[in-house]
Amino acid sequence: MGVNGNGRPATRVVKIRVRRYDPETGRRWWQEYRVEAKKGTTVLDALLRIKAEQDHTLAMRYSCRMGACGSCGMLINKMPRLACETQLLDLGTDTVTIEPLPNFPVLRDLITDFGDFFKKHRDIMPYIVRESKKENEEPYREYYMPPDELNKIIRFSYCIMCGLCYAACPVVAIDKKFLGPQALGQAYRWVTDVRDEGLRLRLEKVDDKHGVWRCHFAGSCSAACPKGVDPAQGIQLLRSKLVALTAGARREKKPTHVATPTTVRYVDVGDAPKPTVEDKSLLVKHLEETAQELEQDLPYVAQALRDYLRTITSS
Amino acid sequence: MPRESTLHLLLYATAGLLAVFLTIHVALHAPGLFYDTYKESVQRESVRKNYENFGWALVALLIVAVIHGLIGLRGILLELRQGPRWEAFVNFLVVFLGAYMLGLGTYTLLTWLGIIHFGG
Ligand code: HEM
Ligand code: SF4
Ligand code: FES
Repeated sequence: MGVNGNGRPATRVVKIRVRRYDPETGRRWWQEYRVEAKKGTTVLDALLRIKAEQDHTLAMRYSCRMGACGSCGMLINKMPRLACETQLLDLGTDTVTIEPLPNFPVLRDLITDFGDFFKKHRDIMPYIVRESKKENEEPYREYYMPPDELNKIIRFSYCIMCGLCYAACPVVAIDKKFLGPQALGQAYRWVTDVRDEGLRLRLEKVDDKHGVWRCHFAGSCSAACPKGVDPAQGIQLLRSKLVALTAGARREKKPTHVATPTTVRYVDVGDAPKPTVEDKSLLVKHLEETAQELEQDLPYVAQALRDYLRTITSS
Repeated sequence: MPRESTLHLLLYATAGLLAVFLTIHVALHAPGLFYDTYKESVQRESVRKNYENFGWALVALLIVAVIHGLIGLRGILLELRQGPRWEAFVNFLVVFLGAYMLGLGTYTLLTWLGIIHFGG
């Protein structure tokens, strides 16, 4: 067995304990497997290898394998994490425990039911709501948004609906009707969106017995979020919006006047975008230099660049 | 029931007021400030003096503590169980307890203060 730079073995056998559930018999049990892990081996890699080589009955959900789809949330060493983004060796334990996400009903093994979670998300209307019925039902043009307005919501729009925050939330654990950090964070994202006019409608949903006021600042949602969304901050900002509105301290935000559908031309593809590099010789020079740099390490990429160069210089 | 945000605004406002009135309340019992010992501060005579000198603050403390505590208690109970009947019961309970505690407390304080004379 080789060693890495720290003098630690480059590969290690890790014991994986999986919390299993069989809905047909109702049986729940712990099952152990052993997997060889090296730098880069993720929990999802390990589970897929177990499924392929040791136990075909093990059930888990995943899709993208790159932290983008939000399907592979699990309780790994008692912390909600994405299995595809968690490396076994980074966990630093000889035994790694894997359980289905808490606060979700378990369907089988590591697969949980996201029905309630998605419903709560739908309840806060996660889309642009306009006052005009026609605009809502027949949107025919996108709404523009100035960059500084985008900055206000961008962090919240990174949410991939993985449910890790919901699994970490102690209030969801006791109040099943609580909207939870994901839906509330998204409610803030949409009421802050300058293109939106659905503030009142959404506030009605969140200003409920099981809405935004049930949060007790535990902050575990933000600690669990793999995308840095910080739903806890969203909840507090949503609360201040509500308090300000209730106390009459702040007037409601006026929606954007930038290019609402009524102010722009009807369906119109418009002109093609201008080329980013206007001067072709600059582009040619840049491509040649890059191809040269890559020649040694990535000869096939350099070759591809040269092929491309030929097509643009011959046209 | 008022809207949830109104109730929570009230929870925060009373929390701010509690900071003031609880300080007075604690100061009245902390040794070395108004009385030499805690024991002395809870003697009948001291309590009567407190009511005379700080009666308004104590009535205010009672009102804000009851409002704050009951809105908080309502939140806890709503989280413990869900369902329309439970929620109706919780709302009834806090209104009932609030009315009872405020009624009894204010009556007692005002009697002490001599504003209401019990039994002639
Ligand atoms: C300086 C005094 C006080 C301050 C600053 C204060 C502040 C607060 C705040 C900010 C909350 C909301 C917490 C949340 O939403 O998670 C709260 C909740 C609560 N307070 Fe107070 N409070 C004070 C005194 C009291 C007193 C004297 C009582 C008892 C009568 C009380 C009973 C409660 C209860 C039952 C809750 C609900 C529990 C919870 O939501 O976590 N508080 N308080
Ligand atoms: S807020 Fe973060 S943890 Fe919660 S669902 Fe979105 S991405 Fe996942
Ligand atoms: S598989 Fe898509 S986030 Fe992990």
